[in-house]
Amino acid sequence: MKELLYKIYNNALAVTLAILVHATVLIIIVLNMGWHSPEPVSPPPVPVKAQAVERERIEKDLARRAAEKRRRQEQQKRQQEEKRRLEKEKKIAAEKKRRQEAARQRKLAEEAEKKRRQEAARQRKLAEEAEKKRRQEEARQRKLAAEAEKKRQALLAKERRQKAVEQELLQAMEDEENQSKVQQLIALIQADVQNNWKIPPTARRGMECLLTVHLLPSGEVQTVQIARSSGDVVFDRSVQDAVYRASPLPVSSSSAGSRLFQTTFREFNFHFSPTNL
Amino acid sequence: MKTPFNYLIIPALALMLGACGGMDSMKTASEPEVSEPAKVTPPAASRATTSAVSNLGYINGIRIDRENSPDSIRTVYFEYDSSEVRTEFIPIVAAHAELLASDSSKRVVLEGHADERGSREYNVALGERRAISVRRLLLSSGARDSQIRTISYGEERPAAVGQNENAWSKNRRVKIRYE
Amino acid sequence: MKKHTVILTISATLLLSSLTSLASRLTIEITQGAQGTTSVAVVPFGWQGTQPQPPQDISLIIESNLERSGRFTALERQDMLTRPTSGIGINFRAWKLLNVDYLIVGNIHETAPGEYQVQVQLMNVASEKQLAGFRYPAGRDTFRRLANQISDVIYETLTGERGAFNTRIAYITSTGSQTLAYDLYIADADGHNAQSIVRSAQPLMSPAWSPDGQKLAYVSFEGQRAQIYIQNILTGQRERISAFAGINGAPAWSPDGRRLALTLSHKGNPDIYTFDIEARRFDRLTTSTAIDTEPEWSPDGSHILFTSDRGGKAQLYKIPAFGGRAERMTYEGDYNAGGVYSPDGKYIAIVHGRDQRYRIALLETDTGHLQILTDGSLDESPSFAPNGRILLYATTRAGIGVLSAVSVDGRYQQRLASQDGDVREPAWSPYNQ
Repeated sequence: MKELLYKIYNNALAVTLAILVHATVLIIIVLNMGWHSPEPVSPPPVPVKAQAVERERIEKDLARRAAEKRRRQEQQKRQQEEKRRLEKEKKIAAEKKRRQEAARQRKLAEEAEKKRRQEAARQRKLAEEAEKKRRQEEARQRKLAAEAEKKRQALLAKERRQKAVEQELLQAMEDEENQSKVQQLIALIQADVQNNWKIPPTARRGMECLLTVHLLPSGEVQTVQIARSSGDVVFDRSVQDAVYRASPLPVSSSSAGSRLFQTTFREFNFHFSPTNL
Repeated sequence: MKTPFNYLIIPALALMLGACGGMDSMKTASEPEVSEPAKVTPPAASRATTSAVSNLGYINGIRIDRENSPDSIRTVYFEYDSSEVRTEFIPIVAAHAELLASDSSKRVVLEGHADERGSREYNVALGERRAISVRRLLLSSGARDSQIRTISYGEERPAAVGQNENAWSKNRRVKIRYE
Repeated sequence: MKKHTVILTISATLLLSSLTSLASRLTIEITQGAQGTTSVAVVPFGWQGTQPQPPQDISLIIESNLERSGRFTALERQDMLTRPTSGIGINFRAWKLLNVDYLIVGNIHETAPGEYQVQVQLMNVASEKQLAGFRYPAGRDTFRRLANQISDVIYETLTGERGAFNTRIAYITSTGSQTLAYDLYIADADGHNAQSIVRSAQPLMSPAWSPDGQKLAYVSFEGQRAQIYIQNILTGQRERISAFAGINGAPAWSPDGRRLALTLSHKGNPDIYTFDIEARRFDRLTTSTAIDTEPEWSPDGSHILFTSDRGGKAQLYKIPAFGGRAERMTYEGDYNAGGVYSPDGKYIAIVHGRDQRYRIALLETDTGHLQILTDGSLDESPSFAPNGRILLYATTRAGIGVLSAVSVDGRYQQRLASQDGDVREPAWSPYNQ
């Protein structure tokens, strides 16, 4: 059985070829006849039966077959040889082609490299140029900006000058109003300090004391310094205490008042000189 | 209407009430005259009183030169801020003068006093002025200068205590004290 | 507190001076002030000692002294929110709310049995600063004197005037009912520590301090005569200056202490004389037939003030100290007597009688303006404190003579520590004794 299988196997190629031929024929037919049957066509099985009766035929068949086989083998051998030769030729051709291709490739690579270098150089050159251009642009921009700033500053200065002039004008306009406000505040402060001044027994007509006071914006007395002493310790203390006692002094908290404060009441003097002694 | 006879009647009443109580009755009886001096009739007083002295050294039978004799016969009272001897006291001063004149060995100290009002040293001066008034009267009635000494205590030795005219009238006085 | 705020025209000006930068600032003119009392709080002093309490309540003595001057109003103790005993950590704002100007705090530390150290601080509430701080040693017997010394320092620091709390007074008392006993006393200025230096069954009168504070001249009626003595208060030795007939009264020292002015009446009626102590010579100054008494030297010694009724009623006159024409000083009221000069000569305190009331009044020397200071009906014998701030005088309370003090502005009156019997004729000592 093995042998049979082996035979089968050996004949497989022939069978396959036969099948291929048959199939091809069939396909052509089918294609010529059109599709009548959708079932795939399969070759009929080969019955293997040893029968004496048919010995001769068989032997004949076998001989034919062997001849067939030889012929097929020879054909096969020729075919193979041809194939080998062809393959060899093909190989040689391929090798040649490969070499040619390698050379071509090398050449291409070399060319590419050359091209790349050229490109790189070009790019470098371009970049340098761009950088140079950029720098130039920057410098130009800077110059422009500086000029613009200069212009802007000049404008601002001008505006400021103008504003100052305006303010001066405004101040001049307000001054009259402020003057009366200052007078009002002075009267209030004066009343406060006078109410808080306890004239000491040592006070004599003609005694004077000048104080410099520093106020916080709240009117709170920060410091009281004797700018000019009366020469009498108790008198000097009494006037200082009067200012401390009057703290906080009535200075306006409005915005106008706050400017008044800055200009007039942040630091000012008190001149004490009793007249009703 | 008061008459000079009052000066006889009052000491007589005092006597009847008893020597010890004399001062009190004197106060009560004489008070209207102290506070109402205008009612006193001055002109006839001197003569009338003199006649009242029954005998030397006595007024209505009471010794005038003893420490225990009633104040009413040894003290002269004065008006406010005045050193003038009021008429009713003239006979009493005269009786003392007669006694001194009759016995040159007798000596008196005139103690001048004032009420408490006003300043103290000024009151000493006022008291002295009162003592001198009495002294002058004694001298004019026969006493000798050498028999009389004056001293003023001002308001320092009050006879009566109290801040009212009743007390003050008793303190404005000259006490005649025999030494 | 009486506040005299005189409102005058507001004279605020913007002074723009080119002289100094200082003067270019706003300058507000202040010409008026309040002439009120200064408010003090004398906080009870702290105490560390073996006894539950210190020998004396020093803060109370100081408070009483300051108030008597009329210059100060003291915060009541119950109104004190805190009672600090030192100047550290004081909440000045709280005291400011109580209108306190100055704070006096202190403590007493018993360093050994009967020995103490007293520490005092005077704080300015307005500036929140310490004005004075001092520490004194004290013994049990010197406590009151120390309190008076502290009062003087505080008074002088705050007013600039010398304090007169550590001075003395002399006065006369009479005690007993039937027979009176008379005493000449010397005591502390507040009436404490009284000590009799003369005792007599006869009246004593008119004590007068020598300018050096070492001697007292006075009138004694011992032997039932009026005499003038000068007594050294330290040794007790005395000498009789005058014992003429009649009045020997009203001794007054010349400012230089070399002469006495006095009243004598041996020539007939009371007149003013001067007595040269060293030369023992009397010079007659007045010769009127009226009462002339109660001489008083002017502080400069140039003339002598006296009481006279030469015009009909008692009024004040003055005459040059070495003789001359007398000049009448008073015209108001029915009675003006017993004048004494204030130490600065600006005022004369007098017994002023009007409408049957006798009160102490102040006569302004320059203007003749008269101001009644007291409200009794039998006030007499005014005597100035050596700083001229307080007048001591005699008045009556329930019929008994007592001493009282009034500040010269009439603002504050205080009765002095009580004495037995009838008290009168106070005389305030000078400073230096």
